[in-house]
Amino acid sequence: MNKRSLVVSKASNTGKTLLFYLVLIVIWEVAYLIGTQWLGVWKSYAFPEPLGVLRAGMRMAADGSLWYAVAYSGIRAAVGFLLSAIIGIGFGIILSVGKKNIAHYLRPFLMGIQTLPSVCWVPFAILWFGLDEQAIIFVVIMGASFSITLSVDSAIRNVNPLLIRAARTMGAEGRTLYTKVIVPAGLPAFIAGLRQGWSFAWRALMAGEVMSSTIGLGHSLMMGRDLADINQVMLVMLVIVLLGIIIDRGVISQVETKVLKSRGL
Amino acid sequence: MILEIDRVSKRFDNSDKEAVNNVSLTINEGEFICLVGPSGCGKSTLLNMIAGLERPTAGEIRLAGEKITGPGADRVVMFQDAALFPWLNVLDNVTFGLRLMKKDKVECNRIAMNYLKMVKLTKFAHYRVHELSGGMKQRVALARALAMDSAILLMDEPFSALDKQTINKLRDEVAQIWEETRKTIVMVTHSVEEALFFGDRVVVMSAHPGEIREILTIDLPRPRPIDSASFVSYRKTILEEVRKEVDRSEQAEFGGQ
Repeated sequence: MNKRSLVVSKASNTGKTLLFYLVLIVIWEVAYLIGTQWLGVWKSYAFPEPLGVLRAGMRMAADGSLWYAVAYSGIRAAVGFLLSAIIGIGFGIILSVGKKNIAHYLRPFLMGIQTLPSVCWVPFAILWFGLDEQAIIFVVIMGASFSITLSVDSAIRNVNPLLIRAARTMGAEGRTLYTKVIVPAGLPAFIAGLRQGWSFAWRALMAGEVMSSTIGLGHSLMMGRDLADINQVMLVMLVIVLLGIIIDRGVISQVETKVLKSRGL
Repeated sequence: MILEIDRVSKRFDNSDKEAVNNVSLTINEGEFICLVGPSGCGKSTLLNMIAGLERPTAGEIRLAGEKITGPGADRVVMFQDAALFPWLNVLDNVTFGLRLMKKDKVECNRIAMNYLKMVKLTKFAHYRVHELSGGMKQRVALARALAMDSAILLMDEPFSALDKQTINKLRDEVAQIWEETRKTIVMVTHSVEEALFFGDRVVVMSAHPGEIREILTIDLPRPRPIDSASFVSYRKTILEEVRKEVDRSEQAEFGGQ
Protein backbone atom coordinates (compact mmCIF):
# COMPACT_ATOMS: atom_id res chain seq x y z
CA MET A 1 0.00 0.00 0.00
CA ASN A 2 1.43 3.40 -0.89
CA LYS A 3 1.57 6.36 1.43
CA ARG A 4 -1.39 8.14 -0.09
CA SER A 5 -3.84 5.27 0.16
CA LEU A 6 -2.60 4.77 3.72
CA VAL A 7 -3.56 8.36 4.56
CA VAL A 8 -6.92 7.94 2.85
CA SER A 9 -7.70 4.71 4.68
CA LYS A 10 -6.69 6.32 7.97
CA ALA A 11 -9.03 9.22 7.31
CA SER A 12 -11.89 6.95 6.36
CA ASN A 13 -11.23 4.93 9.52
CA THR A 14 -11.62 8.07 11.61
CA GLY A 15 -14.79 8.82 9.70
CA LYS A 16 -16.17 5.37 10.43
CA THR A 17 -15.33 5.73 14.12
CA LEU A 18 -17.10 9.08 14.27
CA LEU A 19 -20.12 7.62 12.50
CA PHE A 20 -20.18 4.73 14.96
CA TYR A 21 -20.35 7.08 17.93
CA LEU A 22 -22.91 9.29 16.23
CA VAL A 23 -25.18 6.27 15.74
CA LEU A 24 -24.61 5.30 19.37
CA ILE A 25 -25.64 8.79 20.52
CA VAL A 26 -28.77 8.69 18.34
CA ILE A 27 -29.71 5.31 19.85
CA TRP A 28 -29.12 6.77 23.32
CA GLU A 29 -31.42 9.72 22.58
CA VAL A 30 -34.12 7.46 21.11
CA ALA A 31 -33.89 5.13 24.11
CA TYR A 32 -34.27 8.13 26.41
CA LEU A 33 -37.34 9.36 24.55
CA ILE A 34 -38.97 5.91 24.52
CA GLY A 35 -38.23 5.28 28.19
CA THR A 36 -39.22 8.65 29.62
CA GLN A 37 -41.81 10.12 27.23
CA TRP A 38 -43.66 7.23 25.58
CA LEU A 39 -43.49 4.43 28.12
CA GLY A 40 -42.92 6.63 31.14
CA VAL A 41 -40.90 3.91 32.95
CA TRP A 42 -37.90 6.18 33.65
CA LYS A 43 -37.88 9.45 35.55
CA SER A 44 -36.38 12.13 33.32
CA TYR A 45 -34.25 13.54 36.20
CA ALA A 46 -32.61 10.15 36.68
CA PHE A 47 -31.75 9.40 33.07
CA PRO A 48 -29.34 11.59 31.10
CA GLU A 49 -29.92 12.38 27.43
CA PRO A 50 -27.44 13.61 24.79
CA LEU A 51 -29.29 16.86 24.12
CA GLY A 52 -29.59 17.53 27.83
CA VAL A 53 -25.85 16.95 28.27
CA LEU A 54 -25.21 19.37 25.45
CA ARG A 55 -27.51 21.95 27.08
CA ALA A 56 -25.79 21.48 30.45
CA GLY A 57 -22.43 21.93 28.72
CA MET A 58 -23.50 25.16 27.00
CA ARG A 59 -24.98 26.52 30.22
CA MET A 60 -21.85 25.71 32.26
CA ALA A 61 -19.62 27.11 29.53
CA ALA A 62 -21.67 30.30 29.34
CA ASP A 63 -21.69 30.99 33.08
CA GLY A 64 -18.01 30.06 33.26
CA SER A 65 -18.38 27.36 35.92
CA LEU A 66 -17.08 24.69 33.55
CA TRP A 67 -13.88 26.65 32.81
CA TYR A 68 -13.27 27.39 36.47
CA ALA A 69 -13.75 23.74 37.35
CA VAL A 70 -11.38 22.62 34.59
CA ALA A 71 -8.78 25.22 35.55
CA TYR A 72 -8.84 24.43 39.27
CA SER A 73 -8.77 20.69 38.71
CA GLY A 74 -6.04 21.10 36.10
CA ILE A 75 -3.81 23.10 38.43
CA ARG A 76 -4.34 20.60 41.27
CA ALA A 77 -3.61 17.72 38.92
CA ALA A 78 -0.41 19.38 37.70
CA VAL A 79 0.81 20.22 41.20
CA GLY A 80 -0.20 16.86 42.64
CA PHE A 81 1.29 14.86 39.78
CA LEU A 82 4.51 16.87 39.82
CA LEU A 83 4.95 16.37 43.57
CA SER A 84 4.08 12.67 43.19
CA ALA A 85 6.67 12.35 40.42
CA ILE A 86 9.37 14.04 42.50
CA ILE A 87 8.57 11.98 45.59
CA GLY A 88 8.10 8.78 43.58
CA ILE A 89 11.33 9.11 41.61
CA GLY A 90 13.24 10.10 44.74
CA PHE A 91 12.01 7.16 46.80
CA GLY A 92 12.32 4.83 43.80
CA ILE A 93 16.02 5.67 43.50
CA ILE A 94 16.57 5.37 47.25
CA LEU A 95 14.78 2.02 47.27
CA SER A 96 16.84 0.61 44.40
CA VAL A 97 20.23 1.75 45.68
CA GLY A 98 19.49 1.45 49.39
CA LYS A 99 20.29 -1.41 51.68
CA LYS A 100 19.18 -4.60 49.95
CA ASN A 101 17.49 -6.10 53.02
CA ILE A 102 15.48 -3.02 53.94
CA ALA A 103 14.34 -2.52 50.34
CA HIS A 104 13.41 -6.19 50.19
CA TYR A 105 11.15 -5.88 53.26
CA LEU A 106 9.76 -2.52 52.15
CA ARG A 107 8.56 -3.55 48.67
CA PRO A 108 5.57 -5.71 49.71
CA PHE A 109 4.49 -2.94 52.09
CA LEU A 110 4.58 -0.35 49.30
CA MET A 111 2.71 -2.70 46.98
CA GLY A 112 0.09 -3.08 49.67
CA ILE A 113 -0.36 0.67 50.08
CA GLN A 114 -0.48 1.04 46.34
CA THR A 115 -3.49 -1.28 46.05
CA LEU A 116 -5.38 0.85 48.58
CA PRO A 117 -7.98 2.90 46.63
CA SER A 118 -7.01 6.55 46.97
CA VAL A 119 -10.46 7.51 48.30
CA CYS A 120 -9.47 5.66 51.47
CA TRP A 121 -6.98 8.45 52.17
CA VAL A 122 -9.71 11.09 52.26
CA PRO A 123 -10.68 10.67 55.97
CA PHE A 124 -7.00 10.83 56.85
CA ALA A 125 -6.53 13.93 54.72
CA ILE A 126 -9.52 15.70 56.28
CA LEU A 127 -8.34 14.95 59.82
CA TRP A 128 -4.88 16.24 59.05
CA PHE A 129 -5.54 19.21 56.81
CA GLY A 130 -9.27 19.98 56.95
CA LEU A 131 -11.32 20.39 53.81
CA ASP A 132 -8.88 22.42 51.76
CA GLU A 133 -6.35 22.29 48.94
CA GLN A 134 -3.69 20.55 50.97
CA ALA A 135 -6.05 17.69 51.72
CA ILE A 136 -6.78 17.12 48.03
CA ILE A 137 -3.10 17.31 47.04
CA PHE A 138 -2.32 14.89 49.86
CA VAL A 139 -4.84 12.38 48.46
CA VAL A 140 -3.32 12.76 44.98
CA ILE A 141 0.20 12.19 46.29
CA MET A 142 -0.84 9.15 48.30
CA GLY A 143 -2.67 7.82 45.27
CA ALA A 144 0.11 8.27 42.73
CA SER A 145 3.55 8.40 44.31
CA PHE A 146 3.73 4.78 45.49
CA SER A 147 3.01 3.49 42.03
CA ILE A 148 5.74 5.77 40.62
CA THR A 149 8.15 4.70 43.38
CA LEU A 150 7.65 1.04 42.55
CA SER A 151 8.01 1.48 38.82
CA VAL A 152 11.16 3.60 39.13
CA ASP A 153 12.60 0.99 41.50
CA SER A 154 11.85 -1.83 39.08
CA ALA A 155 13.04 0.24 36.09
CA ILE A 156 16.42 0.66 37.75
CA ARG A 157 16.67 -2.94 38.88
CA ASN A 158 15.78 -4.20 35.40
CA VAL A 159 18.47 -2.27 33.55
CA ASN A 160 20.41 -4.81 31.48
CA PRO A 161 23.33 -5.74 33.77
CA LEU A 162 25.58 -6.20 30.75
CA LEU A 163 25.30 -2.47 29.95
CA ILE A 164 26.35 -1.68 33.51
CA ARG A 165 29.28 -4.10 33.33
CA ALA A 166 30.40 -2.62 30.00
CA ALA A 167 30.20 0.90 31.41
CA ARG A 168 32.13 -0.08 34.54
CA THR A 169 34.99 -1.52 32.49
CA MET A 170 35.15 1.82 30.69
CA GLY A 171 35.60 3.63 33.97
CA ALA A 172 32.02 4.60 34.90
CA GLU A 173 31.27 4.33 38.60
CA GLY A 174 29.14 5.84 41.35
CA ARG A 175 27.07 8.81 40.29
CA THR A 176 28.42 8.81 36.73
CA LEU A 177 27.13 5.26 36.34
CA TYR A 178 23.70 6.54 37.36
CA THR A 179 23.53 9.64 35.22
CA LYS A 180 25.21 8.20 32.11
CA VAL A 181 23.91 4.63 32.08
CA ILE A 182 21.23 3.59 34.56
CA VAL A 183 18.91 6.58 34.14
CA PRO A 184 19.03 6.69 30.31
CA ALA A 185 18.73 2.88 30.15
CA GLY A 186 15.71 2.93 32.44
CA LEU A 187 14.06 5.91 30.75
CA PRO A 188 11.38 3.99 28.79
CA ALA A 189 10.30 2.18 31.97
CA PHE A 190 10.44 5.49 33.90
CA ILE A 191 8.03 7.08 31.45
CA ALA A 192 5.71 4.07 31.50
CA GLY A 193 5.69 4.39 35.29
CA LEU A 194 4.90 8.09 35.12
CA ARG A 195 2.09 7.36 32.69
CA GLN A 196 0.55 4.90 35.10
CA GLY A 197 1.18 7.39 37.90
CA TRP A 198 -0.75 10.02 35.99
CA SER A 199 -3.83 7.81 35.73
CA PHE A 200 -3.64 7.15 39.47
CA ALA A 201 -3.19 10.87 40.19
CA TRP A 202 -6.19 11.84 38.10
CA ARG A 203 -8.43 9.26 39.78
CA ALA A 204 -7.20 10.27 43.22
CA LEU A 205 -7.82 13.92 42.42
CA MET A 206 -11.44 13.23 41.52
CA ALA A 207 -11.89 11.21 44.70
CA GLY A 208 -10.51 14.11 46.71
CA GLU A 209 -12.59 16.74 44.92
CA VAL A 210 -15.84 14.81 45.27
CA MET A 211 -15.33 14.82 49.03
CA SER A 212 -14.33 18.44 49.39
CA SER A 213 -16.30 21.59 48.75
CA THR A 214 -13.81 23.61 46.73
CA ILE A 215 -14.26 24.48 43.05
CA GLY A 216 -13.30 21.69 40.67
CA LEU A 217 -14.65 18.98 38.41
CA GLY A 218 -15.29 16.58 41.28
CA HIS A 219 -17.24 19.27 43.07
CA SER A 220 -19.26 20.11 39.92
CA LEU A 221 -20.19 16.45 39.83
CA MET A 222 -21.59 16.67 43.35
CA MET A 223 -23.34 19.97 42.51
CA GLY A 224 -25.13 18.10 39.73
CA ARG A 225 -26.29 15.55 42.26
CA ASP A 226 -27.46 18.22 44.70
CA LEU A 227 -29.43 19.95 41.95
CA ALA A 228 -30.79 16.60 40.71
CA ASP A 229 -29.32 17.55 37.32
CA ILE A 230 -28.22 14.21 35.90
CA ASN A 231 -27.21 15.84 32.62
CA GLN A 232 -24.65 17.99 34.41
CA VAL A 233 -23.33 14.90 36.19
CA MET A 234 -22.98 13.13 32.88
CA LEU A 235 -21.32 16.13 31.24
CA VAL A 236 -18.74 16.49 34.01
CA MET A 237 -17.99 12.77 33.87
CA LEU A 238 -17.35 13.07 30.13
CA VAL A 239 -15.07 16.07 30.69
CA ILE A 240 -13.12 14.10 33.33
CA VAL A 241 -12.64 11.20 30.93
CA LEU A 242 -11.62 13.51 28.08
CA LEU A 243 -9.07 15.46 30.13
CA GLY A 244 -7.56 12.24 31.47
CA ILE A 245 -7.17 10.87 27.96
CA ILE A 246 -5.81 14.12 26.53
CA ILE A 247 -2.98 14.26 29.06
CA ASP A 248 -2.24 10.56 28.68
CA ARG A 249 -2.41 10.30 24.89
CA GLY A 250 -1.57 13.85 23.96
CA VAL A 251 1.38 14.42 26.27
CA ILE A 252 2.85 11.43 28.11
CA SER A 253 2.34 8.84 25.41
CA GLN A 254 3.85 11.21 22.81
CA VAL A 255 7.05 11.46 24.83
CA GLU A 256 7.01 7.70 25.34
CA THR A 257 6.64 6.97 21.62
CA LYS A 258 9.46 9.36 20.81
CA VAL A 259 11.84 7.71 23.26
CA LEU A 260 10.92 4.19 22.16
CA LYS A 261 11.20 5.06 18.48
CA SER A 262 14.69 6.52 18.89
CA ARG A 263 15.75 3.13 20.27
CA GLY A 264 13.98 1.10 17.61
CA LEU A 265 11.49 -0.37 20.06
CA MET B 1 55.49 -8.63 31.64
CA ILE B 2 52.34 -6.59 32.01
CA LEU B 3 49.76 -8.82 33.69
CA GLU B 4 50.48 -11.29 36.48
CA ILE B 5 47.87 -13.76 37.58
CA ASP B 6 49.27 -14.99 40.86
CA ARG B 7 47.82 -18.20 42.37
CA VAL B 8 44.27 -17.00 41.83
CA SER B 9 41.25 -19.01 42.99
CA LYS B 10 37.57 -18.22 42.82
CA ARG B 11 34.74 -20.06 44.50
CA PHE B 12 31.17 -18.87 44.09
CA ASP B 13 28.91 -18.78 47.13
CA ASN B 14 26.55 -21.43 45.82
CA SER B 15 29.23 -23.91 44.79
CA ASP B 16 31.35 -26.45 46.64
CA LYS B 17 34.10 -26.47 44.02
CA GLU B 18 36.53 -23.84 42.87
CA ALA B 19 35.46 -22.28 39.56
CA VAL B 20 39.07 -21.23 39.17
CA ASN B 21 41.66 -23.11 41.20
CA ASN B 22 45.14 -21.81 41.92
CA VAL B 23 45.79 -20.39 38.47
CA SER B 24 49.03 -18.58 37.70
CA LEU B 25 49.86 -17.00 34.38
CA THR B 26 52.08 -14.19 33.23
CA ILE B 27 51.17 -12.18 30.17
CA ASN B 28 53.66 -10.06 28.27
CA GLU B 29 53.09 -6.73 26.64
CA GLY B 30 51.79 -7.00 23.08
CA GLU B 31 50.87 -10.64 23.50
CA PHE B 32 47.69 -12.22 22.18
CA ILE B 33 46.56 -14.86 24.70
CA CYS B 34 43.66 -17.20 24.05
CA LEU B 35 41.91 -19.14 26.81
CA VAL B 36 40.13 -22.32 25.69
CA GLY B 37 38.50 -25.17 27.54
CA PRO B 38 35.22 -26.99 28.11
CA SER B 39 32.30 -25.03 29.51
CA GLY B 40 32.61 -24.58 33.24
CA CYS B 41 36.42 -24.47 33.14
CA GLY B 42 36.41 -20.96 34.56
CA LYS B 43 37.84 -19.19 31.52
CA SER B 44 35.18 -16.46 31.60
CA THR B 45 35.46 -16.19 35.38
CA LEU B 46 39.20 -15.69 35.01
CA LEU B 47 38.61 -12.97 32.42
CA ASN B 48 36.05 -11.28 34.67
CA MET B 49 38.57 -11.28 37.51
CA ILE B 50 41.15 -9.61 35.26
CA ALA B 51 38.46 -7.07 34.33
CA GLY B 52 37.77 -6.53 38.04
CA LEU B 53 34.11 -7.48 37.66
CA GLU B 54 34.67 -10.47 39.95
CA ARG B 55 36.96 -10.67 42.96
CA PRO B 56 39.27 -13.65 43.48
CA THR B 57 38.69 -15.58 46.71
CA ALA B 58 42.43 -16.22 46.91
CA GLY B 59 45.53 -14.88 45.20
CA GLU B 60 45.78 -11.64 43.27
CA ILE B 61 46.08 -10.23 39.80
CA ARG B 62 48.47 -7.39 39.09
CA LEU B 63 48.49 -5.06 36.11
CA ALA B 64 51.89 -3.42 35.67
CA GLY B 65 52.62 -4.27 39.30
CA GLU B 66 49.38 -2.77 40.65
CA LYS B 67 46.89 -5.09 42.33
CA ILE B 68 43.50 -5.17 40.58
CA THR B 69 40.66 -4.32 42.98
CA GLY B 70 37.85 -3.33 40.64
CA PRO B 71 36.94 -2.56 37.05
CA GLY B 72 38.80 0.23 35.29
CA ALA B 73 39.36 1.87 31.95
CA ASP B 74 42.82 0.26 31.68
CA ARG B 75 41.13 -3.12 31.10
CA VAL B 76 38.28 -2.67 28.65
CA VAL B 77 36.11 -5.71 27.93
CA MET B 78 34.47 -6.70 24.69
CA PHE B 79 31.55 -9.01 25.45
CA GLN B 80 29.77 -11.72 23.52
CA ASP B 81 26.90 -9.29 23.14
CA ALA B 82 28.00 -5.89 21.81
CA ALA B 83 26.49 -4.17 24.90
CA LEU B 84 26.10 -0.86 23.06
CA PHE B 85 23.96 1.87 24.61
CA PRO B 86 20.70 2.07 22.63
CA TRP B 87 20.05 5.71 23.56
CA LEU B 88 23.27 6.86 21.89
CA ASN B 89 24.29 6.83 18.23
CA VAL B 90 27.33 4.93 16.97
CA LEU B 91 29.77 7.83 17.39
CA ASP B 92 28.58 8.65 20.93
CA ASN B 93 28.87 4.98 21.86
CA VAL B 94 32.49 4.96 20.76
CA THR B 95 33.27 8.19 22.60
CA PHE B 96 31.46 7.08 25.80
CA GLY B 97 34.56 5.99 27.71
CA LEU B 98 36.70 8.79 26.31
CA ARG B 99 34.19 11.38 27.51
CA LEU B 100 34.35 9.85 31.00
CA MET B 101 38.08 10.62 30.96
CA LYS B 102 37.01 14.26 30.59
CA LYS B 103 38.62 14.61 27.23
CA ASP B 104 37.65 17.46 24.95
CA LYS B 105 34.67 16.60 22.74
CA VAL B 106 36.33 17.43 19.43
CA GLU B 107 39.33 15.32 20.39
CA CYS B 108 37.03 12.42 21.40
CA ASN B 109 35.23 12.54 18.09
CA ARG B 110 38.50 12.61 16.18
CA ILE B 111 39.77 9.52 18.01
CA ALA B 112 36.43 7.76 17.59
CA MET B 113 36.26 8.46 13.87
CA ASN B 114 39.78 7.08 13.52
CA TYR B 115 38.73 3.75 15.06
CA LEU B 116 35.42 3.70 13.21
CA LYS B 117 37.52 3.96 10.06
CA MET B 118 39.56 0.99 11.23
CA VAL B 119 36.39 -1.13 11.54
CA LYS B 120 35.02 0.38 8.30
CA LEU B 121 32.00 2.06 9.84
CA THR B 122 32.65 5.79 9.32
CA LYS B 123 29.53 6.05 7.16
CA PHE B 124 27.45 4.79 10.07
CA ALA B 125 28.75 7.21 12.71
CA HIS B 126 25.37 8.86 13.13
CA TYR B 127 23.25 5.73 12.91
CA ARG B 128 21.27 4.48 15.85
CA VAL B 129 22.34 1.17 17.37
CA HIS B 130 19.11 -0.60 16.39
CA GLU B 131 19.76 0.22 12.74
CA LEU B 132 22.91 -1.94 12.67
CA SER B 133 23.33 -5.66 11.98
CA GLY B 134 24.83 -7.99 14.59
CA GLY B 135 28.24 -7.93 12.94
CA MET B 136 28.24 -4.13 12.68
CA LYS B 137 27.29 -3.82 16.34
CA GLN B 138 30.20 -6.02 17.33
CA ARG B 139 32.52 -3.89 15.17
CA VAL B 140 31.27 -0.76 16.96
CA ALA B 141 32.01 -2.54 20.25
CA LEU B 142 35.52 -3.26 18.96
CA ALA B 143 36.02 0.37 17.95
CA ARG B 144 34.72 1.48 21.36
CA ALA B 145 37.16 -0.86 23.13
CA LEU B 146 40.12 0.16 20.95
CA ALA B 147 39.36 3.86 21.34
CA MET B 148 39.94 3.56 25.08
CA ASP B 149 43.56 2.64 24.29
CA SER B 150 43.63 0.53 27.45
CA ALA B 151 46.74 -1.26 28.66
CA ILE B 152 45.03 -4.55 28.00
CA LEU B 153 42.01 -5.55 25.96
CA LEU B 154 39.79 -8.38 27.19
CA MET B 155 37.49 -10.29 24.85
CA ASP B 156 34.85 -12.69 26.12
CA GLU B 157 33.81 -14.89 23.17
CA PRO B 158 33.38 -11.81 21.01
CA PHE B 159 32.28 -13.68 17.88
CA SER B 160 30.11 -16.45 19.27
CA ALA B 161 26.79 -14.67 18.72
CA LEU B 162 27.45 -14.06 15.02
CA ASP B 163 26.89 -16.07 11.85
CA LYS B 164 29.71 -17.96 10.12
CA GLN B 165 30.35 -15.49 7.27
CA THR B 166 30.44 -12.53 9.64
CA ILE B 167 32.75 -14.40 12.00
CA ASN B 168 35.31 -15.10 9.24
CA LYS B 169 35.28 -11.51 8.05
CA LEU B 170 35.51 -10.07 11.54
CA ARG B 171 38.33 -12.42 12.54
CA ASP B 172 40.41 -11.24 9.60
CA GLU B 173 39.72 -7.64 10.54
CA VAL B 174 40.63 -8.17 14.19
CA ALA B 175 43.83 -9.99 13.18
CA GLN B 176 44.76 -7.12 10.88
CA ILE B 177 43.98 -4.50 13.51
CA TRP B 178 46.04 -6.40 16.06
CA GLU B 179 49.00 -6.48 13.62
CA GLU B 180 48.68 -2.71 13.32
CA THR B 181 48.20 -1.86 16.99
CA ARG B 182 49.95 -4.78 18.76
CA LYS B 183 47.69 -4.43 21.77
CA THR B 184 47.86 -6.89 24.63
CA ILE B 185 44.76 -9.01 24.22
CA VAL B 186 43.29 -11.80 26.35
CA MET B 187 40.53 -13.61 24.51
CA VAL B 188 38.21 -16.27 25.86
CA THR B 189 36.86 -18.58 23.19
CA HIS B 190 35.29 -21.99 22.91
CA SER B 191 36.65 -22.37 19.37
CA VAL B 192 40.04 -24.04 19.12
CA GLU B 193 40.31 -22.79 15.56
CA GLU B 194 39.84 -19.23 16.77
CA ALA B 195 42.45 -19.68 19.49
CA LEU B 196 44.97 -20.97 16.95
CA PHE B 197 44.13 -18.24 14.51
CA PHE B 198 44.85 -15.47 17.01
CA GLY B 199 46.96 -16.73 19.88
CA ASP B 200 50.66 -16.23 20.49
CA ARG B 201 49.97 -18.65 23.31
CA VAL B 202 46.92 -20.81 23.84
CA VAL B 203 45.98 -21.64 27.42
CA VAL B 204 44.02 -24.89 27.66
CA MET B 205 41.93 -25.10 30.82
CA SER B 206 40.10 -27.96 32.51
CA ALA B 207 36.90 -27.95 34.49
CA HIS B 208 35.89 -29.01 38.03
CA PRO B 209 37.94 -27.38 39.34
CA GLY B 210 39.01 -24.82 36.72
CA GLU B 211 42.73 -25.19 36.24
CA ILE B 212 45.33 -24.57 33.57
CA ARG B 213 46.04 -27.88 31.85
CA GLU B 214 48.57 -26.76 29.30
CA ILE B 215 50.03 -23.63 27.74
CA LEU B 216 50.96 -23.96 24.08
CA THR B 217 53.12 -21.49 22.21
CA ILE B 218 51.92 -21.18 18.65
CA ASP B 219 54.79 -20.59 16.21
CA LEU B 220 52.77 -20.13 13.09
CA PRO B 221 53.54 -17.19 10.80
CA ARG B 222 50.80 -14.60 10.45
CA PRO B 223 48.40 -14.23 8.80
CA ARG B 224 47.44 -17.81 9.51
CA PRO B 225 45.39 -19.49 6.81
CA ILE B 226 43.14 -21.93 8.63
CA ASP B 227 43.49 -24.58 5.92
CA SER B 228 47.32 -24.81 5.92
CA ALA B 229 48.85 -28.16 6.91
CA SER B 230 50.60 -26.89 10.03
CA PHE B 231 47.43 -25.14 11.21
CA VAL B 232 45.43 -28.33 10.80
CA SER B 233 47.96 -30.43 12.71
CA TYR B 234 48.11 -27.90 15.56
CA ARG B 235 44.35 -27.88 15.71
CA LYS B 236 44.29 -31.66 15.99
CA THR B 237 46.67 -31.61 18.94
CA ILE B 238 44.70 -29.02 20.84
CA LEU B 239 41.32 -30.50 20.00
CA GLU B 240 42.49 -33.81 21.45
CA GLU B 241 43.69 -32.03 24.54
CA VAL B 242 40.36 -30.25 24.97
CA ARG B 243 38.37 -33.40 24.25
CA LYS B 244 40.29 -35.22 26.98
CA GLU B 245 39.40 -32.39 29.33
CA VAL B 246 35.74 -32.49 28.36
CA ASP B 247 35.65 -36.27 28.92
CA ARG B 248 37.45 -35.94 32.21
CA SER B 249 35.16 -33.19 33.50
CA GLU B 250 32.09 -35.13 32.40
CA GLN B 251 33.47 -38.10 34.23
CA ALA B 252 33.88 -35.97 37.32
CA GLU B 253 30.40 -34.52 36.99
CA PHE B 254 28.38 -37.60 36.07
CA GLY B 255 30.91 -40.16 37.34
CA GLY B 256 29.61 -43.72 37.84
CA GLN B 257 26.30 -43.17 36.07
